[in-house]
Amino acid sequence: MLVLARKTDQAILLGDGIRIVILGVSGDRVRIGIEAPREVPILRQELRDAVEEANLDASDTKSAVHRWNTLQAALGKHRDSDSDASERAA
Amino acid sequence: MDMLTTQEATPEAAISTNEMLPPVIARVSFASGLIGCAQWKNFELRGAFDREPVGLLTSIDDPDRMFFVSPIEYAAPGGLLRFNNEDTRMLRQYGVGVRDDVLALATLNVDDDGNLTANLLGPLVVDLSTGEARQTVLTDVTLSTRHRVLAELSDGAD
Repeated sequence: MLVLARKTDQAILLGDGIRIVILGVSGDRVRIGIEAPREVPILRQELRDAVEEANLDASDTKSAVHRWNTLQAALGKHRDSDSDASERAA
Repeated sequence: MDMLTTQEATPEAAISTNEMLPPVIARVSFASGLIGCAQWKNFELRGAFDREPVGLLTSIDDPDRMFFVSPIEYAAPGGLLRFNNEDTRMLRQYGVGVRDDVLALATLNVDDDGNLTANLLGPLVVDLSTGEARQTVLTDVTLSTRHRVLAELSDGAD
């Protein structure tokens, strides 16, 4: 990993199209400004990691039956609820 | 005899033999794969979203992977309106809320307490006309990958 020391308002350039500016430091928080082409995704690592974990959890066919049963039960109750509401409205 | 009768059919068998699965409405390709799972690129999207809120996204590349999915407007009341300006701008840029043939889907899961949950932080954007798809990570840190769906309805579900 390349490690650089920067002061407030100093910048780092990545290639030709990406500029990262240190806007300020307060305690353990650093405010960073990023200029990049619109097509370059900029993600907070912890959010990306959370989505990755969710993908792995939600796609495992070994638990698909449990998920399927829960879905059917929830949707069945939802339909019953809608039906009851319709009958009351009528 | 291995053959299952209708009465003996299990959910496992029904899913594995596609017996209960909704029809394929598109074959979709994620050019960059899914977030953290770059090898999962090609899927079949199954569903009838005009009648049922839940569909399936089954992997062609890895038969051990499949997702239950639901359009965002079903998974989260308010749909696009619940997203901040930056996220709305990004989704609209991909055609969500602009074109009828572009869907924003949330993957569904079941948490340890049996509650139905939706991943609102990383929705899937699917262009039904081209089959192109992508997974986005939204910027709103208050969005959850485990947003409870129909919370009161899934209580007690197995």
